Amino acid sequence: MVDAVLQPGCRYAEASAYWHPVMSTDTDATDEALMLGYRDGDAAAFDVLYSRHKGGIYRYLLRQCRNAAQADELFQDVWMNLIRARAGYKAQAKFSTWLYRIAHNRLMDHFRRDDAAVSLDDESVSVDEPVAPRSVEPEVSATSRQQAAQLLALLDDLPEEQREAFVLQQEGGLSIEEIAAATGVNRETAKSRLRYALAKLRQGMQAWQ
Amino acid sequence: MTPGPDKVDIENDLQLAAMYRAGADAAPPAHLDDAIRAAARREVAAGPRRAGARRWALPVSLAAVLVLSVSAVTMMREQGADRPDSMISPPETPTMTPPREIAQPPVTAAAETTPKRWSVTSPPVTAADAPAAQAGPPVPAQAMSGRVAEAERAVPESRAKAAAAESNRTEAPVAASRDYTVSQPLLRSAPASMAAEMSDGAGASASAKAAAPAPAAALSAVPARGALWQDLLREPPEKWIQRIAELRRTGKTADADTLAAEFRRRFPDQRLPDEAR
Repeated sequence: MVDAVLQPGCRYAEASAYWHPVMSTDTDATDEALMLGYRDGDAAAFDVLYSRHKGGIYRYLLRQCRNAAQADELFQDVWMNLIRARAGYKAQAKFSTWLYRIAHNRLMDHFRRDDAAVSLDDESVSVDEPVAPRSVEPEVSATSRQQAAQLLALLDDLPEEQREAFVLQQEGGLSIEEIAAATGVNRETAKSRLRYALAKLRQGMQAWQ
Repeated sequence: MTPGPDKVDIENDLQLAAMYRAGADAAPPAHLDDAIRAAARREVAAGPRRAGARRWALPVSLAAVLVLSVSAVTMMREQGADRPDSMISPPETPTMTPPREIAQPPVTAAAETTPKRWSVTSPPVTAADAPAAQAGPPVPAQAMSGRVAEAERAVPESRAKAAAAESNRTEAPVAASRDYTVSQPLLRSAPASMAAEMSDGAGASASAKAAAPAPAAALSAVPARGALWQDLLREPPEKWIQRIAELRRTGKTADADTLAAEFRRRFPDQRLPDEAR
């Protein structure tokens, strides 16, 4: 079991190597400071930001749209939107909240434009199957992978809003207030969604606990 | 027993988080990484966004529209002031009026109301006919009669002086102004003379020279009927009666009738003898 240590701006720093990609330009600067640096012309700051958040954003989009090709397209759009919006960035809120808000909006546009693409009957769905880690470490046992596969299967069965709340918490490290801000709902709604999601997942994973 | 939603600790479920992370290894393809990073560098290399320019775009656009609008209105007013239409009173054209009505007042009234610029540059005939040419589309006869009546009221003495004024004019212009049929070609030629005058407003004499051919050309188109009394214009009524009687004696009844009609128009107080009828 890997303990999760949530750190602002650099989540899951002590996770396995495949979880957190190698960052040659990693710094101790906060996300907001890096984004301000990029706004002012520091391209290296963007590299650090991108390395920190690319996995979480990609998986968030993948869990929601359930299609790898569409997730690729959405992922690129999200980051391009961030790049285009850099001149107007102000550190008024947590960077990850702002970033996931961009991703959420892009996802909603995608759903509105192509509802059929999110159908569970789509043969191109490729998320349900757990993917083998790129660098499997000894402690990541077969049991852990089976647990993960079961959890992802349960996650897919959740209503979209509840799934989103859970993924935002896990991938973005967002609090309830931040989830509410990212998804455009009030705090109680976000809290309710997250609570129901966790309850269902725990119930489904009882056998593994 | 599974806890209900209200019992779930939603802030710190490390066990679920660990299980989730064990299967959450999906990552974007490498080519996407390269493309996004390259785009980010290009954006930085392109320089800072000109937020200031965008902030000023709307006020500058509004100011430009305002300046252009004011300029356009000013130019239109200046051009409108130069137009002769706005300087000349409503035309008193003899074109559609009966020959009796156009005999004296329109010429005098038009000459009096015409601005100096036009009266200076126009010969006698064009001075009388220029307003008529500016009348534009044909005006109904009733309206024209009304205008002539207004002119008569405005200058009552002009009718009384008309006969005397005729004697001071050249024969050709007078004939043109008196003859209803002659006025049509004159009107057609009048705009040409006006255009020449407008293009050379400073040279009054040059304009007059340019306008002079217009009545001459118009007179060249005078029908033979008008020539019947050209040599009688300065003659007393007795001469007219003699000519009419002579025409009847020689069998030129049509010419005699035409000349008699003109005699009655010019000398309404004179009685035409029986031998001339």
